[in-house]
Amino acid sequence: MKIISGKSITKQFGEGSERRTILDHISIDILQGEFVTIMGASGSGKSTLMYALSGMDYVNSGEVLFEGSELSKLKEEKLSDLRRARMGFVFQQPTLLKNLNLLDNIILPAVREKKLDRREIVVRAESLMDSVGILELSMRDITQVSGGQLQRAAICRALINSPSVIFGDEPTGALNSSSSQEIMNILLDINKHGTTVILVTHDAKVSAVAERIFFLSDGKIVSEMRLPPYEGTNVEDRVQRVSEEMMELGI
Amino acid sequence: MYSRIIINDLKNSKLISVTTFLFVAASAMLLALAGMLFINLTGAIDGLMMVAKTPHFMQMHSGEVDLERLEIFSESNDAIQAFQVMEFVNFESWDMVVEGLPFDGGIQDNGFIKQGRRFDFLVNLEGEIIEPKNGEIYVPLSYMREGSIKEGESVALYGSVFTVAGFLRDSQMNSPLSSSKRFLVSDSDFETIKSMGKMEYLIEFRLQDLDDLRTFETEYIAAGLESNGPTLTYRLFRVINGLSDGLMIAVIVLVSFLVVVITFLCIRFTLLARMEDDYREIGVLKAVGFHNSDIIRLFLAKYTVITFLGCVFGYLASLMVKDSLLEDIKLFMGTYHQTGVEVFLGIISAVVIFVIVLAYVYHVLRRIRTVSVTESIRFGAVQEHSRMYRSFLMSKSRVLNSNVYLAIKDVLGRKKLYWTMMIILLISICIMTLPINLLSTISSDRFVSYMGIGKSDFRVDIQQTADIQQKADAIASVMENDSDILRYVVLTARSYVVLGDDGRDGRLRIEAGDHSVFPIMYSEGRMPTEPGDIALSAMNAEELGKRVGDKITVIIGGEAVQLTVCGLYSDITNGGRTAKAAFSDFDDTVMWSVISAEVQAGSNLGSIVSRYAETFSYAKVSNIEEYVQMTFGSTIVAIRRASNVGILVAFFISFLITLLFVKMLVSKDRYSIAIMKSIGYNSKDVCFQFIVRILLVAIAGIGLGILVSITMGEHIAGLMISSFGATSFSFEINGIFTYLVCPALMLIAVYTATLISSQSVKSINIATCIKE
Ligand SMILES: Nc1ncnc2c1ncn2[C@@H]1O[C@H](COP(=O)(O)OP(=O)(O)OP(=O)(O)O)[C@@H](O)[C@H]1O
Ligand SMILES: [Mg+2]
Repeated sequence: MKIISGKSITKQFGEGSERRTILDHISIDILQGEFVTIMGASGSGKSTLMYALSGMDYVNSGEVLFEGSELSKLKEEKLSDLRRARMGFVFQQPTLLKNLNLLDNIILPAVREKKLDRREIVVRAESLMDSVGILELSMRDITQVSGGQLQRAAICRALINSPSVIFGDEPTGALNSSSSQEIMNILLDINKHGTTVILVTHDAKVSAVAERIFFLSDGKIVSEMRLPPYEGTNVEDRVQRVSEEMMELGI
Repeated sequence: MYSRIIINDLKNSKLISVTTFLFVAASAMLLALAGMLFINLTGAIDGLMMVAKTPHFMQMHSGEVDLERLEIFSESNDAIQAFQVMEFVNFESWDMVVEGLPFDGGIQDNGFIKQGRRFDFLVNLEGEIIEPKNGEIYVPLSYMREGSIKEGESVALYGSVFTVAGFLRDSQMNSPLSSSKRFLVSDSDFETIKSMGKMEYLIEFRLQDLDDLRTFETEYIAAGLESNGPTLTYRLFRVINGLSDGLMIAVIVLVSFLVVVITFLCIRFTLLARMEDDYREIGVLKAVGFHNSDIIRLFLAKYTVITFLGCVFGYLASLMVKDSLLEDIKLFMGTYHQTGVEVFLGIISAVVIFVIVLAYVYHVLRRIRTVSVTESIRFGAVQEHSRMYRSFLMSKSRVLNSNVYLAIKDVLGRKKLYWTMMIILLISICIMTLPINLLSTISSDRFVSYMGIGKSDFRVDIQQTADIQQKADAIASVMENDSDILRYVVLTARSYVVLGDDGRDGRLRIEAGDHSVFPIMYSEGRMPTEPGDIALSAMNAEELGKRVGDKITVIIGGEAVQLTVCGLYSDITNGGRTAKAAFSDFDDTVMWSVISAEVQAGSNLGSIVSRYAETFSYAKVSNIEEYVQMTFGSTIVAIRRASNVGILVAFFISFLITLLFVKMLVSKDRYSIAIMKSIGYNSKDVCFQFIVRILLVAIAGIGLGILVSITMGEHIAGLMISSFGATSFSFEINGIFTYLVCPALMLIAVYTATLISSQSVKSINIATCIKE
């Protein structure tokens, strides 16, 4: 079943003679429960595509269907509700509110819902934080923790409402390899429990765990690679395949 | 290069630039206006008093005048330059018939007079000394203003018919605050009718040197000359002439001061916000070797342009508004011809504003020096937070709405930023409520009791006639049996000799009787209750050098009696020199008698007053409310106008500042707004957060502002009121306006502005703002 379906998405930036087409009639379908990555050179439009698919930014033409409803036709409030309840987003840099501590940042999307019980929200947040190893930091200000810990908190926030899709725009980009590995494990775990994961990455090792990999260049998807579902085995081999494809495409 | 950066910057921050410009312009306009009005007022008053040759010292006197003795006194006294006795013939309103109808002379003591011999001239609207022809009458200007009489109308007075030939300026009695009004007729007409009315003498002196006035006053009293009536001096005439317009100028100065403060706050918070925004940038600039002075110069250049334009515009605006405010001064006091001085003063005021605003901008900019290079690059603007702030947590609360929580957290976390906003709203509510409470105080019927008049319904004055005691008794006995009268009290005043501490004796008019029936307000001490008590008016206390508890020796019935000063009070009646005592003294030298009365609830005061006025034609019967209306009417009107303007100005200021503030906040907070949007908060949520934030600040500001306005405001207003001679004073608070209408208006202004400005939240694009 398709959870997201992009049809002929076109996105342009700039005005007049400086107008450039970043996404050029891209069509892409993502199935429920898939683990997908998007790769491409820096500036190739990966983030832009991600924002378009999640409805964070408008597209100039084409349409994006999320669970069957077209995002550009939704009212802002509907779109916000959808974003809050069904999607989680982890940005390239940690985006947390600086006047709240980690726990409050994490529960923020959930407490917007008046129906939910606060105690249950906090319990859930704490179990998420525990699973990514930042539980003891829950009362810290965001200026008092490391970048990797912030990114883990951002993942917890993305997961607090149990979304059906989680978007990650190079969530491990700013991290060292061991932190990076931990975060990938978390994402794989979530994916096992049925959450669709869409990641943007440069890193062949990251892409190696995906089932499908899209390669972006000059505003188009120039290649799509399928791998068997990741079981924790054949890691070297998978990385090898991705790297070869990257070389071939000159990424 | 500079000019390009400045123009770009002005374009990018239009609202900030426009607001700063407006406030600078308003400050410059108000200060220039105050300056120009002040010079016009004092110039015109001086001009009028110079042409009219206003007396330096004037004793009003009813009864016999020993001209020869006065002549001898004035010749023997070197200080005196000129001396004259003017005859002032009082007439009752109904004695004068204008175009067949009785004249509406209000509660003023109207009388006619012939032109002064040597000085004290009455002048026409052209500022020339009037020489009335036979059959002509000149009418005081205030009646032209009231419209009760017009030029060319015929006036019948004691059988003679006059034509109103014009209106006159009276350097002594122009003001509604002075209780007498002088009509001018020709010398021969005056002789014909003078025997018909009640004669009063104005014994007037001009001195060689005005500085000798005090000594002269004591010499006059010591000589035991005619003194049956109030004493007035040049200084008092000047004050009375300048009072109502002076009050207006004082209000303008006060408001301009507040607007300057708001301008400063506005500059402070726009600049600080800008600098906080540019914190990294400034740090980077410094890191790459820019000097502080370069950065300061850049900002300073921009503000120089805005401030200069604002001052020029404000000055031009003041020129346009000036004339309508000058109307009254020009009519009553005449034109001040030194336009050069006026223009100069206006320009100086604008320049003063220009200089202090720029000095302030420079002062704020100097903070750039404290931006440390490494810190700004690493953390941006860092703030320390209190433990309370840190323990106020969403996760700890069961029910608190998340938007409300985020709003409160933000306000607590950026107190400095919101502080400025709060102070501005605090000042605004003061601008609103101060004049309103001043107005309610002055128009309250208790206000007269601060002025030496007990709160009663009407009073009957018997003076300048024979057998005052008997007449007072007669009226009292009528009141005793009058079912309309609830209660009344008779106070009688006599003139007593006071033994001065320095051996020089003076005279003191003492009102004796029961002062507890219609009590007045005492600025210090209490009312006289025992026979040995005496209360002094502020002016008398000052002159005698007495305070509460001091002893004073008075000759009563030929014996020296020691009285203790038990209280001090302010008085505007009888030239401000009165005293009150509780002893009884039955000799026959009563100077005047006042009977105050209160009518039964529900009875028709107007008809009772006119009944007494008709029955006792020798007495002056006045309705207290009417008296207050006449005396303070123009002041009340002026303050009402000021309070209307105040409400408007404050509303506008709060609206504009909030508009600007929220707009800046939205732009400052666009990163966190994008974050909130990205996790599923919609624009309405964010707008609501802005409304909560601003309302929190507004409620704090309004609450504190009301507190300030009713406490400190009372002192400020007290200072203004004291110019009327009242020293003690407490606010009569208009509860509905102070606690309801004004706060509601402010909240509406702030709420609407927030709603409008926060709409820009909608256009914040998540993708763009998160990438920054
Ligand atoms: N708001 C914008 N206005 C103009 N151009 C933009 C804007 N946002 C992105 N671009 C341009 O669009 C192109 C794609 O940007 P995007 O952020 O999607 O790249 P990316 O593939 O995510 O790169 P990276 O790997 O460096 O994150 C870039 O060339 C960028 O300069
Ligand atoms: Mg990117």
